[in-house]
Amino acid sequence: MDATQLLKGVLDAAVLAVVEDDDGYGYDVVRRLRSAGLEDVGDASVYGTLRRLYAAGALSSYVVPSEEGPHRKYYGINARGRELLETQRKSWRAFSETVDHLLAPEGAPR
Amino acid sequence: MSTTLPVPTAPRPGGDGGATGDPSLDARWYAAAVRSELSDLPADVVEELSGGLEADLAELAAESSTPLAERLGPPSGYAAELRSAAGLAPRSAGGARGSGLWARATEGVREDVEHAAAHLRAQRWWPGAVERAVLLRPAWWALRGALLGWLLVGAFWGWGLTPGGFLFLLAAVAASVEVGRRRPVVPWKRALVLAANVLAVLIAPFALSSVAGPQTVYVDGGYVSSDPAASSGVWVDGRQVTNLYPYDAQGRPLTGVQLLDDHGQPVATTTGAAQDWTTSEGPSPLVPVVDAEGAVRWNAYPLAVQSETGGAPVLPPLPQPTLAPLVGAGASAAAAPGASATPTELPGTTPTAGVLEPLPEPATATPPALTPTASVSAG
Repeated sequence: MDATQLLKGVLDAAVLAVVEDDDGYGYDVVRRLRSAGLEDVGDASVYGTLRRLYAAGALSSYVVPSEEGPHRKYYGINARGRELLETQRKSWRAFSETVDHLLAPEGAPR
Repeated sequence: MSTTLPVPTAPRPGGDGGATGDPSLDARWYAAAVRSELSDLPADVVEELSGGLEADLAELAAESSTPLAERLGPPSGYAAELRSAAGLAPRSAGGARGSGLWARATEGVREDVEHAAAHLRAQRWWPGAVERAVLLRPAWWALRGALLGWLLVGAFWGWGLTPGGFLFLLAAVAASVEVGRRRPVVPWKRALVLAANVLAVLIAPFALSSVAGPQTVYVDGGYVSSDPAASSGVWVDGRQVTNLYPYDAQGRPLTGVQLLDDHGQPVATTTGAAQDWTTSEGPSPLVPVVDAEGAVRWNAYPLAVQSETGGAPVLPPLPQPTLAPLVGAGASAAAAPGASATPTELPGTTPTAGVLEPLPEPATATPPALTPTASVSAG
């Protein structure tokens, strides 16, 4: 099974989840996702998702100027993002339970 | 925490990236390439998509020495992933330019180039080569300035190197280094720098050949012409010599002295033809002597001058009547007046043309034996 295909469907929820407690800039978010176990996540996919969630009003963003290098763009979750995350959590649970059930070996205790 | 600040409209031009070195350079390059892939989108959308990209890429680049293009794949793929994740249409579907034959053709070429570049980056030696090339960049900036300065000076003030032209050249070098150090990020400035680089590469062979090759020297055509015959004869300080006046060690003029060059060829100022002389008016007609075998000798000096009255040839007046005796071999001979001067035979200088015939006695001179003695002129 192609894990990257599965990842696409849950990337929004995963990104929202890793910025839920702490704001993060693009590469920071990528690192959090990878250390959480999503090692195959693509940099550009995460950045694109951050931008889309921002455009959808689920994230707020702010720029931190840096003296030594280019500006860093941070993202933080907002009220709308929390609602969205909660919805996605519910639908993921329902979905994963369904798929677990579906894929469970025959006769195995559930 | 949830404050919304305006996104930066552009990366700071000029940049202080010069100090941060290679990873930052790689990040800038990659970010610029990604932006150009997004160029069909409205500017605010591009900024929204790629804002902060340099910082993220710089951090990624600083983690390892592997080039970004190798870790992330080609910028076009990165940009496509960014678009797709951001919910935007892929470039080929919606762009203002995108469906034409030309666009498809260039797309194919671009993919080939990217493929070749990726192959190159995968080589073992590639990172080292890039590192060295980056180290050599300032040298290229200076050379580029010198080349373009050379072109401008030459185009506006001629190709000779004057002090003013040299100062201009130095200024061009300084300007070029400054431009290189600043690393322009605005597209049209980058295009300008690229054009300057291409131009510098194109004119480099011409500049090098001009510096290394023979300088073009413009000489009064009265002295030098391209006629091969004019380059014969004897020349001193750019002037043609019509006659030669040998003197012995005691400073006394000699007659009938035959001269050979180091190839054993006779040294002749003329062979009697009027076109031997490149000056507008030739000298008085000169007369050769004939040796014992009947051969005409134009290399026995001084050459006699045909007298205007039609009589026997006479020796021309001496250009310099007195010469001080030489210190050394001839000193003892000078102490004995009337003695024959004995030219010192230099070792290894025997002419290679063979034995010369003795000259017959000229009417106005004592018989000059060729070797080893020469007599003082009777005049």
